[in-house]
Amino acid sequence: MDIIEEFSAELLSDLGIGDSDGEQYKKLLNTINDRVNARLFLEIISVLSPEQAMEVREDMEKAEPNPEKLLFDISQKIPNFQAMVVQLMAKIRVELLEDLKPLIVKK
Amino acid sequence: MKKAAEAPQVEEPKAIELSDSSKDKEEFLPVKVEEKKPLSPEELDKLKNKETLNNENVRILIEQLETGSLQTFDQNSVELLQKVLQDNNKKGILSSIKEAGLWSVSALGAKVAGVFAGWELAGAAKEYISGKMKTYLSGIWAVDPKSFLTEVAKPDAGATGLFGAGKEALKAYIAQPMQELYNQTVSGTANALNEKIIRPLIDSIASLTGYSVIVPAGALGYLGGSMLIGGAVEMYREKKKNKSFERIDDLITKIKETKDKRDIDKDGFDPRLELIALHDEIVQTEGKNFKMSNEEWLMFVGAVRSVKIELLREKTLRPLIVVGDDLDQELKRQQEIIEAIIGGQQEIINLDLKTAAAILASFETEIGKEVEPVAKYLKNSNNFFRKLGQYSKAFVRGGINATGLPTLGRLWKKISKLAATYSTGGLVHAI
Repeated sequence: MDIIEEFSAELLSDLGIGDSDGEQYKKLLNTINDRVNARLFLEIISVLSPEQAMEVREDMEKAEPNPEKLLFDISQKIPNFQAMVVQLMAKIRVELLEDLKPLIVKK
Repeated sequence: MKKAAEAPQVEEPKAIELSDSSKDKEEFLPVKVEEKKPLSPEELDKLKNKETLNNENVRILIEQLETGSLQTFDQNSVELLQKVLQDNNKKGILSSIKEAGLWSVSALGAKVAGVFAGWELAGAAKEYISGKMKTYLSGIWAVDPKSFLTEVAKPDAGATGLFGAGKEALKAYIAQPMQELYNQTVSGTANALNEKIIRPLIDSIASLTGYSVIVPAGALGYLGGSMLIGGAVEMYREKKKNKSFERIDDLITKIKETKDKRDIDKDGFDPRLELIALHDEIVQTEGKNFKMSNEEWLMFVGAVRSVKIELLREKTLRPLIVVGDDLDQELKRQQEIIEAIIGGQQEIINLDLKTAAAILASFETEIGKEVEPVAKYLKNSNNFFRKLGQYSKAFVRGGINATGLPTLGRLWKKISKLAATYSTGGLVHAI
């Protein structure tokens, strides 16, 4: 389980949603994973310099892109990248809880 | 956003999962505790004569504190502590035990401060802010967060022993920074959050656990300025207008001005729809008559994303997942509910990726160029968008793993959870 899956699973757990129902839980978990991922991607993209953004574009066009290495390289040039990611995840957590909490009713 | 009770709802929604143990799912970082001497026979005799041993709850609490086995300051321990604090006899017993030497003052302080200053307190504070804590502590502190902060942050020379140590730690790590935040103007809040909370937290975590998080100088200021997309509407106010941006500027202003009364104003005009329509117009006309810098474009697409999500939330049905004892449920209905939720989330995912694509496209040209190439690009970006969906996953997951963040284990999760706590409750608006 990677960092985003852990994050998503913990969020569902905090909402009281466990994994006893395998299929439905997996669907929800995958969706939350995708949402966290898409949002992180969006936020990271928004802080790139034009040159870094172009690197992303160019890498995408390669026959064998290496996005993992690219983000690692870029992260070295973004001040306090780790702290930024943690802060982003905190914000995403709040948003997801606000979105999903109204959908959960505890008997 | 519609409230669950008012929204059209699926009839008799059923539970997908039974779970009543979310409060027990916190994991905790190790807390350094001073080593305690074993009890001497004389000390045991003294204890046996105390009323506390006649109260099973108090006995358990004291035992857990003394042996260091109190790993979580959860609902149970809060309630136990509440009983101790509200009973003068029991509070006196705690003092007696301390004075008898079973606990040294420093050991008591370190232990309880550790419990409070560690993530257990974060959990308790989070619960309080979310409303639960005011039940747990209704007899001790005021019932709303502001009063709570005011109460805890003020000097209190009378607080001693268990309560005093915990309260001091709470003041130092949580209440005072939050109180200061509460008093900040909105414009200064983001930086204050970082300086007053994130940094002390990182420092306290390091001192309590041995973990260290390297946050170079200047990082905290950066944090305050991040999350452009999520805060695009807020951040826009800082920006200068240009003539082409004026229409967008006006719409965003109206969106902000009507934010709190959208449910009331039903006159047919919704500036959010106008903003979306303007975005579509720019894309359709390939940016004719619109000249924006990349920065303005970034704000524009960020604002469009924000209002689209707001509209989506308003218009999405509010199906309910019922978490409870009733597991005998109609599977088909439950699946429909889940699918509806997933569908709503998927729309947001697509919107985020499209917004990212728009931003990436904007960087295809140099900063300061007109928006026309971007708009033209967006009209033909389907292939790019599909590729982006796959690429973004590897980019984010692989990249974050490569930064070493996951190796910090529980730490990053706790920080993100705690930071999330401070982003709620209306205390922090700017991020």
